Amino acid sequence: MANVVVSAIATFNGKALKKGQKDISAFDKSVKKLGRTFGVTFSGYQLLAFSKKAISAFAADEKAAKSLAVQLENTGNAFRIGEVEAYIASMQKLYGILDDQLRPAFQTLLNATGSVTLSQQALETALNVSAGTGKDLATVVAAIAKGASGTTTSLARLGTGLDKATIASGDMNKIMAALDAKFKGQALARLETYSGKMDLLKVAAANATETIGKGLVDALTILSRDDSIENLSNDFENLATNISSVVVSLAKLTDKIGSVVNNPSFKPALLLLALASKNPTAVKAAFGYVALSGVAEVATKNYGTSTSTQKNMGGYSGIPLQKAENKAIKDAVTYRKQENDLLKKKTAVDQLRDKFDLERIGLTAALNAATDEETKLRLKAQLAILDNNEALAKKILAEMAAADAAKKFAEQFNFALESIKSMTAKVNAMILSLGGKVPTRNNDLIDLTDQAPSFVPLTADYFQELATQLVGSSSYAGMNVSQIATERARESGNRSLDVNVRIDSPSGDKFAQLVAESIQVAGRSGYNTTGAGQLP
Amino acid sequence: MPVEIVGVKDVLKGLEFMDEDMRQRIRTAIDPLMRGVAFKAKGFVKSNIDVLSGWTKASGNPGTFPKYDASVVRAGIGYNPGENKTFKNGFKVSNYVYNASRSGSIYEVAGRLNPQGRAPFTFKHEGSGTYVKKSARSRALEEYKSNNPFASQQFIAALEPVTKQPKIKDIRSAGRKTQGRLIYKAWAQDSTKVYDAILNAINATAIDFNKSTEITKAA
Repeated sequence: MANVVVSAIATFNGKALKKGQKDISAFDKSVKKLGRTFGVTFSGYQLLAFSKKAISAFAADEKAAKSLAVQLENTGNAFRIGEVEAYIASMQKLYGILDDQLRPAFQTLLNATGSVTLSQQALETALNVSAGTGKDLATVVAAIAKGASGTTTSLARLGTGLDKATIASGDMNKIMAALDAKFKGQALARLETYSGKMDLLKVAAANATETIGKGLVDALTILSRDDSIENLSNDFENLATNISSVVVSLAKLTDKIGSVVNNPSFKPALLLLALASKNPTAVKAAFGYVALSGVAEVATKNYGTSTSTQKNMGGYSGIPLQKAENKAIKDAVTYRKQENDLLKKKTAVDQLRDKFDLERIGLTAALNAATDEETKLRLKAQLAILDNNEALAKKILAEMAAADAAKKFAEQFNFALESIKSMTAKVNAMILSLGGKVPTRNNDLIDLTDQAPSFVPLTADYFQELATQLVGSSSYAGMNVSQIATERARESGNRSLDVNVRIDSPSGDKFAQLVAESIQVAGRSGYNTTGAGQLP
Repeated sequence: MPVEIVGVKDVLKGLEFMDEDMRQRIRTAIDPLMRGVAFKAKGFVKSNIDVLSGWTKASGNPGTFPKYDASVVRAGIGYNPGENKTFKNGFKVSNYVYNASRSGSIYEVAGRLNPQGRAPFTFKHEGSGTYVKKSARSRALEEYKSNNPFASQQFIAALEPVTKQPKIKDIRSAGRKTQGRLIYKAWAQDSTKVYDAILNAINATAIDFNKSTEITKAA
């Protein structure tokens, strides 16, 4: 049977190979072809080649970036280095042109114009002209740069179809305006073609290559014992030896992995393992892990950040991913609508169920019939529990606590009021017993003598009893209060003492001096002879 | 300092799973398109009266030049959703369109090496450099001694030209071995759709994978 077949899916079976080198070369060649269709495929020599290529790409990219940075510094635009890099990155993603081409082009234009803004405008024009005429970007940029320097011959040879008089005038403003008018939108339109899409894919793959290259360089730098770049060559050879013996089970992995490996932090550790072990299996595992970390990076990639100017970012070719993203958004809106509809239906069902809820009916009826606030609150609380209404329950709980507090306060107040009333009654009784008058609510004194006394006159026994209660003893019988106080003072040793002092005339001054000195001594000793707040 | 990396086996297992998932998706996506390619290829088969009349009369016995029969050629074109046997270069394909009949294969590829037919009166071995005969009886260095030396030129001239695969810059070149008149012609017309379907399937796999392995930051 003739082997005339057409298929887009091919898998490699290394076991079927008779010999290694020859067939692996053929395999590598075939994988490259497949890789261009499916994406970069990792396997055997491909891995080694990819590692070398990645490091070279990173080195070239870094070199170009540094060269452009120096150029910007030399033209007095050092402060715009970051801006220009961001601009080139955005142009790369927007137009699917590699920064390897954009940087030299921008640098050429910067040399010619000396202005970042003019260079940016000229670069965009050059991209459009390149897409419209089919000339490569470098040729177009060189022609524009020469035009800016006063030589428009190259511009005439671009085949743009511009008026000869315009070109001959040498007025770059006119020429650029004419080019813009004629080729506007060509660069973007190119992306709609299959080739354009593939260019976007190429940009993504190239970026991934540079990123991986950076990771590898970092990793290998770490691996060098003295952290110097000089030892990289040996280490890299070791790595290459190991990689070359890796089997091809990862061959089926597609470029998706390459396009997403953005996290270099994993790579040093993994490659450390690989190099330390010198074990092909370990290398395989390490690269497997690196690959998965790349895929995980895609997982964390924010596809939602795509804007009109970045519509082709972050995907295999960008376009299918954006379609998928749009579809996902549309699906999400649909699901949200369905969820809202379900919620509405659920609310209606809940309302219907409430209508036939006997417990609720009973509580509502009781609530309507209740007259006191406390009962109402309790019923509302029960309804809140029934509804599982947390906010209402909290409110009712607070109201019930407030009602309890008010009730307790009222009880306390009543108790205090009764006490006051009782005391007032006793005072009034005493006043009346002494023949006095008590004030009315209108402060009118009422003469109660004509009224029947409700208070029994106090007897001596009463006072005796009172004295006994006050002093704890009944030995003061027959004494009045003053006498009892004197007696108690005597008992406690604080007896009254009468001192009679006779002072003769000549020693009167001495006595006076003695008193004064005593007062001074008392003052120095801290004894105060004056009352509180009184001046000494 | 020793480094311990855990989970590598699981990672590889996960990659295998993802790989298989992607393969299945791709196969599912391209299945109807590949059927379309086969159907279209059958449509390119010329009827018996559109080829050299002598070809339809030739013997169909094995070992001789097969005669052309449109129905046989059509029947020999088909689509296989499975996998074929591994080629000697180590590859095997799946979801492939085949052109299996002898006369169909000849119609498919005739003239793609020498579009004007083989030059008459040449040596059988046309390679450059020093040629060492593989055996003493080899006739590789002899001239062709055909009674009809222009037959190949006439045969190819009677056929329609082969169709090349459209060249896609940096993606696919129009190689000689992908030129043809039946399945390769259909493939040249429909392959972009297949590639798009494959890209979509790959992206769908990636999106699903991302969703299922979404890493959330711990609170």
